[in-house]
Order: sequence, then C-alpha cells, then structure tokens
Amino acid sequence: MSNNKKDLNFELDLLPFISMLSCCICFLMLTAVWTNIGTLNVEQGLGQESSRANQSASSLWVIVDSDGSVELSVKDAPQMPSSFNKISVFARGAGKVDFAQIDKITAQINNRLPDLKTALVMPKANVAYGDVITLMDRLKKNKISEVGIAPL
Amino acid sequence: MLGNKANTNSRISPLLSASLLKPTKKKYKKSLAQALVLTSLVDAFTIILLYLLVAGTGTPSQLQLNADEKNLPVASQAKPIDAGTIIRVEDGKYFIEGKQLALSQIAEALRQIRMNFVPSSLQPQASLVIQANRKLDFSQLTPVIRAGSISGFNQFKFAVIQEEG
Repeated sequence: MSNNKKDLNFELDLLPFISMLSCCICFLMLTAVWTNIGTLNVEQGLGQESSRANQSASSLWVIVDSDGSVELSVKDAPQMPSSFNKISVFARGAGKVDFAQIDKITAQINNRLPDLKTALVMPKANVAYGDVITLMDRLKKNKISEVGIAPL
Repeated sequence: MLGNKANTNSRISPLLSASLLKPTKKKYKKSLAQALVLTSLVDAFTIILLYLLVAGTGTPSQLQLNADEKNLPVASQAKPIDAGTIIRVEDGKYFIEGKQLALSQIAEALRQIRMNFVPSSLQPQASLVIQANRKLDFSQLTPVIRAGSISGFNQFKFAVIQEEG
C-alpha cells in the first residue's frame, strides 16, 4: 500500500478568473457609455427597391436651397388649405436654415393633418450635409416618421 | 513529518470537506479565517459579461471614426448602429469597408456587395451606412445615394452622434 495516494479533490483558484472578468466588464461598460454613435435611418420610398411602393398617402416635400432657404409643400392632401401648397422659410442669417420656423410650420401641418407620416427632403447640391440631417431629425421629432431623401 | 501532516489537516478547506466526489473525513475546524464561496460571484460576473457582449456591442467598431468622430452630424432621433455596408466619404475620397475607391467604381462595388448579401435575422434588409463630415456639401453624397439605389440597397443609414432628445 502506498501512502502516496493522490487526492482527487482540488480547489480551483478562481481569483485570476474573477480578475479577468472584472476587467472585461469594466471595459465593456466604459465603452458602452462612450459609444454614442447611432444612425438616422432612411428607407427608399421610390423606385424598384421601394419598401412601400403600394402605399399612396399625403406627403410633405421639403426643398432645401443652398442659401439656407427652405420650401415646404403638402402633396396629395385635398383637405389642406391652399396656403399649405407652398410655404417658404427664409434663411436665418448667412445661409443658416431657420429650423425653429420649420418646426412651427410642421407642427401646424401636423395639427391639420395628423395622418401625415411621410416627408421627402430634397436638398440642392451645395447644402451642408449636417443641415440635411438636422432637418430630417426635426421632421422625425415632429411625428413624421417616414422621412425620405431625394437629391436634386 | 507528522507535525506537518497534522498542520495540513487542520487547514483543510470547507469546500474540500463538503465535496461529493471524495469528501475528507476530517471535520473542518472552525477558524477565524473564513473561506469565501466565489462560485456565485463568478456566475454573476459571467452573466453580466455575456449581457454586455450581446447588448452593448453591435458593430460600431467597424466605423473608423478617429478624428472625424466629432464632425459627424448630430441627431436626437437616431437609432443604435447595427449591421450594414459602411461607406465613408472624406475630402472627396470614397471608402467602402475601409477600401478606397474611385467615384466610378462605387456602383459596381456596391452591386457586388448586394449580390453577395444574404438576409439574416440581424440584417434582414441590405443597408448602407453612410459616414461623412457634417460640413460636407451634399453633392458629394449624392453619387453614393444614387449608386446605392441602383445597386439595390433599400435602406440608408446616416452615421450621427446621438443627442438627448
């Protein structure tokens, strides 16, 4: 009989494992907090790949000019007064889009036409990309959920 | 030798004495030094880690933000970034998945990507993630949108910095 019998039980040293897990959790939590990048999504509303080709509803067309002026017009909405067929919003200062005024007009349109969910933004060539995104963001904020883009 | 063995038995762990595999017959002596049961802690840590891995990390690492991060447009209605083909526009240069392409090559490259696209639960529709500086003229993005539409991408995602609404 040998006294050199090896013990089958052993304790696993968990401390390095816990340390590693703690480091991973700290890293993931910190990176999750700092990652504040998202996407503003636009679905194609026209053409072959359109996801809503069969839908026909009233829509808001927004033409953005390079000098910062914006023209809004409500299409396919016979119940809307003719004054909403073409609304011009002039630039605020040097080529800056007057987003506050656009918000006001969009709110008015929304009050009169709560079913309006579609807007088409048509920016001209020299319009700043940031302005286009801000405009689309504001429209989405004003309950126009389906915002499309059509470069002029 | 004998003294050493006795010393080992007196320091036997409560975990070993409770083992089902081969419990030690010696009774665990009460001592001031208590063994901390770490198994539940490890379980909790593992669950948190898995949750953070699954929920926290989509594919934002694919975006090469570098110094351009602070120049992305700002939007409050943004959604968390997810899978898609990333196209970056930088000083008139176009990069698809990090590879620089001439303007004339974009439509063909996107068409190839679209042809190889397999819908999945993570990415049911072919989407194009556009990353550009907010001060950029929209005319530089127009060819990308047109090429994307021609190539069959039906969802465009503009990379933005999320702002509290």
